[in-house]
Amino acid sequence: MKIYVNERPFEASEGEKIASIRDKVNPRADLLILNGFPAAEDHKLSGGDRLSIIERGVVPPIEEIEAMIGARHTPGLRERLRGARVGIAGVGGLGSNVALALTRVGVGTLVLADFDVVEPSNLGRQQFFTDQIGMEKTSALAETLGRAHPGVALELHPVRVTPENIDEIFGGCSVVVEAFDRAEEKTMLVEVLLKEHPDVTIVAASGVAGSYSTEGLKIHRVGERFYVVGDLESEARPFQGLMAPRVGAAGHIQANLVLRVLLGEL
Amino acid sequence: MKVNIKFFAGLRKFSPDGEGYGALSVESDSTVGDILDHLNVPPEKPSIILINGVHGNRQSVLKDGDTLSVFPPVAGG
Repeated sequence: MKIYVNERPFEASEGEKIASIRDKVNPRADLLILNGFPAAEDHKLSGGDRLSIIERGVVPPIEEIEAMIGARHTPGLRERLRGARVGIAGVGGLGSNVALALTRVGVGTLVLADFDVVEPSNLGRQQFFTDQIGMEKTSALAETLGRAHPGVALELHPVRVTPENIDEIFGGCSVVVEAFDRAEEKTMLVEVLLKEHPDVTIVAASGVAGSYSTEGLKIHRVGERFYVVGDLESEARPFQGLMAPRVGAAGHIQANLVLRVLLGEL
Repeated sequence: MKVNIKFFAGLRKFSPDGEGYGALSVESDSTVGDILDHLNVPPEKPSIILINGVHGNRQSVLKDGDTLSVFPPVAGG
């Protein structure tokens, strides 16, 4: 009978037990998941069952991770995203969340640009950890993204983005996420991309601070290939700063927008 | 000639209808800068200018029927 082991087709005998399959695939495996739930090793399998055989503490080969992430929920999606190259300008509250979401969904290459280093105040909303304080943000984020999915290709640019280096950094990206903090830098990036890279889709954000309702985080199509996520008004200021829930939500809306662009839904 | 206006966020109040939209009758060969000055848009605010959805700037000359969009990003990210 045909079953699936770690999301790959596998020929099992009628009534074969989980333990028998485990011994053939990896005798050291100590976590057995049948059809999404932990199962006992003496359980008899049925045709079409999906069995995951996992050895705790061992990272499976990348092909196996790909198969296991992709097969269950959205077959074929990751293959479509593997060739995509997405730029992220700024990897703070928005950009670090965008990067993590796009890594998890299977975007092939991410280009990360940020001149800054991780400091304690960042930990309140950005995808960094206490043991990364002092690291370049791009390197710290690369470490985290690699843990989420070792197959993501990353290009790191720990430099300040200027009109002069935008082409060098983001050349070849079909989508660039504007995730800067300062209004002047947001304006600069978008202006240069609109002028010099009219084929690039820009996914920007504006008005993402505070604890205001997330219902205000709308998608505004400002230009032909220029989208802005946010309420457009809520500027980061004392006592209404950037907070993890709302800026994280905005980052994930940006990431979903990128996904839709890559899938040709927009 | 007529130009369509689409202002976002804090600039909406300077648009013809006060809500971000409206059509404006202007002289031929008016530039974006002429129109923004005419509508009393503060020049110091960093803003992204688009004409018919693609890149423009204060010096861009408009044509009849063009849509001028102006978007001022706010800090935070």
